[in-house]
Amino acid sequence: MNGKNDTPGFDVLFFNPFLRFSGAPLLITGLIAIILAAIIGSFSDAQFNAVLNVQVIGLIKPPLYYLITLNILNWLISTLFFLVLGGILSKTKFRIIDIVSTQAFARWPNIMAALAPLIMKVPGFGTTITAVYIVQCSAYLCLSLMVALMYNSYKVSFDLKGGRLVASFIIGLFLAQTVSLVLTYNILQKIW
Amino acid sequence: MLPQKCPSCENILSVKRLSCEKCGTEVEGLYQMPVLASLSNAHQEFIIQFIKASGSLKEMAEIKKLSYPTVRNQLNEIIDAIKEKEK
Repeated sequence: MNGKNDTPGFDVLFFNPFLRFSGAPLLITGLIAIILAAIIGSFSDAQFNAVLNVQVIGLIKPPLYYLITLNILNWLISTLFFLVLGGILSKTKFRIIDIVSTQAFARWPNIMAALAPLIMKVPGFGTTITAVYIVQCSAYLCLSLMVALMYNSYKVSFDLKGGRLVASFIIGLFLAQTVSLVLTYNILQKIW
Repeated sequence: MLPQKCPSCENILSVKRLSCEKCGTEVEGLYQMPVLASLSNAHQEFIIQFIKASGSLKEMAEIKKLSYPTVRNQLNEIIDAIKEKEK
């Protein structure tokens, strides 16, 4: 806390926009980003089949509603686990809307991850090792940014600090990833 | 800025002398520093703004151009500081 001038700069806001934004406007923006990533993915063949997974799918293209459902479920699953863990560990009052909205916005890097595989559709270049390498690198970068945003979302929403914050975040992320993988491969894929 | 800790032994300082700027009268004694006065300048500034905003965190967030949970976490920080001083 620095007194009057608390407004963080752009560099801080890029990795932690939740210092400045929260609530309903952030939730709407986050939901738009989640749906947009699925729509772009339907063109670029990118599928987000778990909380931390992005996969370029083969010949069998799932319908758009399936891709949107996957993205929304990934967001809901991570939110649920962080809500439960944060609710148990937090010593302060918190608002459900804060974790729901910040977790939704934390998934915006998926838009970039969905855009990257479009270069694989460029004739003559798309099938080269360089193209595959670019797609893989951008996927890792987007994933790293998303995890950083998810961490900051969890931290800001529940005011957790130190070992409790780090340990519970890792546990929550691991559980969310496992549950979303199980859900995608054992239930959702069989439905469509 | 009001000094709070002894520069020699780091013990919490007390108020010994108060004076009237108008007539020069001085009152001497040994007064404990009020909890609010012993908080940092930033914390005191937050409390004043918070009272002016009728205790509304939502309004505070708008004034400070920060998110609601960030402002609430700042308030938690002050609560912890006050609890620490009251020990």
